[in-house]
Amino acid sequence: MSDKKKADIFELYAQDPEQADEIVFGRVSDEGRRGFLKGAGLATMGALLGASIPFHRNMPSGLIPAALAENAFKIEGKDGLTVLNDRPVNAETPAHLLDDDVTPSARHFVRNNGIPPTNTNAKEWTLTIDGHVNKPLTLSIEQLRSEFERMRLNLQIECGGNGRAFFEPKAKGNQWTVGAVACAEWTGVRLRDVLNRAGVKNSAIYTAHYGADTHLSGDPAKLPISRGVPIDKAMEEHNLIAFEMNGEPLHAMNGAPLRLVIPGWPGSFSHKWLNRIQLRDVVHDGPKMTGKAYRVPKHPVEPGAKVDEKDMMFIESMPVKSLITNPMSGVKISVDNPVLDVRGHAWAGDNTVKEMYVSIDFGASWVKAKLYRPKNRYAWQRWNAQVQFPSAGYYEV
Amino acid sequence: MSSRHWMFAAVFGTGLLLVANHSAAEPKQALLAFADPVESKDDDRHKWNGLPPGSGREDVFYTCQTCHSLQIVKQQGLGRSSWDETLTWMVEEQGLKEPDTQVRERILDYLAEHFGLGR
Repeated sequence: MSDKKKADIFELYAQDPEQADEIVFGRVSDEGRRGFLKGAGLATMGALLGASIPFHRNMPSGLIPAALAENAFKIEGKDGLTVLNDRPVNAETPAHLLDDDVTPSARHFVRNNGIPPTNTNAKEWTLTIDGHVNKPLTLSIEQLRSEFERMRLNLQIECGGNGRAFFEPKAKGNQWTVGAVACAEWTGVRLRDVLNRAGVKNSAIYTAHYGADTHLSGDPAKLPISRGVPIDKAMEEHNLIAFEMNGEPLHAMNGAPLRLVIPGWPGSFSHKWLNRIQLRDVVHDGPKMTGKAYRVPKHPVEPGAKVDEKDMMFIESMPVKSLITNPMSGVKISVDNPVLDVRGHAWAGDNTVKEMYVSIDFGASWVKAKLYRPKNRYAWQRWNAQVQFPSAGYYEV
Repeated sequence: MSSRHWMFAAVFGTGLLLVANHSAAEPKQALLAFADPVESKDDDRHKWNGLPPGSGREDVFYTCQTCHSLQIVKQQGLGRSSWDETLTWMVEEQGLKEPDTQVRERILDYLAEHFGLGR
């Protein structure tokens, strides 16, 4: 199927999913919004997919079968990443390229807010710690390497907006699908060790992170982004000031030569091209800390509802989520042996996932997956499962 | 609500497959004729980095690309008031020069029509 025709189906579904069901597939939904495929409609959808849909009675109406909704993968950006924006650069990784336990640097997503710095010489780079500390410090990367305990951890970083593309009504920003997440092996020193060297004053309640990237407008007085965390989170032992990614210098688009890694919370706290951390006696109010940025309603609301500012809160620990990384979407297996091994990763912000289940019938029934412990806290967790199919046809796991 | 819920479940964990005999038919092109859009012959959006024709296109093209590419604009689906807030944010915090009133109205009308709710 050509990309253009795929896009046309998207447009049709975007305008009115249920009507699109009727136009394209002759499918009319019942009150429960389950789509009942009948006669020609069922046959049409089946023909398009290349197989009938055994669990069609459970399939939600207005939902494009995932086989049609998948975009063709294009080799752009790093290695197989999908580029969402080129200025600033934002690119995510297709799910099947995230199969490794440790994400290769070439497949780590990129989320830039400004223009990356051009001078990233590690020998000249310095990090300043100031604000509410007893003794402000300026350290070279060599000093960080030689004067502090070195840590090597697998740490999962996820963009706060990962999955946003499926929101309705749409949320502002890059329309990330599933791949703005990665778990690389980071080498660096503990953030708390460096803060303790400077001496954290009792008055310090928040951090403020600064980097060397510049504002898109070119105005040198503006910062592209400066976020910060409560001091308790900053002192958590897994936060790193990192100078290596997978045993090598950081990738230029992932913050070379120095960055923060604050796992489990939105990636924007893990400041790239890091050159200053200030401790503050107020909640940090840098760019993308104010207004609606990185905030969610404190309590569940209707999609798209207007929410008063006082009822909004910062996104802190990211929610529980999982991803299927193998097989790649769209696989065909023989009816003679209708069994499939599926695997992927699961993660849950500051927390650990205890159990994981998969379904082949649009969520009507579930099979328990085998779930492994993380290599270290804040590493994503491998899971795998075997599913069996009752008859020939189209399924979504 | 329930349909959205399932959409999340399906997509975050998306993996799909066919259990198939090898005789699956493929009459795909014929079916997809349903979805062909009406497209005007003088559609020159490629000259405008993908912006569809309409009053305000030129304003959007020259105003927004001062700082960022149009790829971020074309991903959005926002109501006029959200676009209005966004433009205000661009002026107040992101260094965009305030467009004059007529230009601003044209930009908002264009964005709300082409990159509005229900996309």
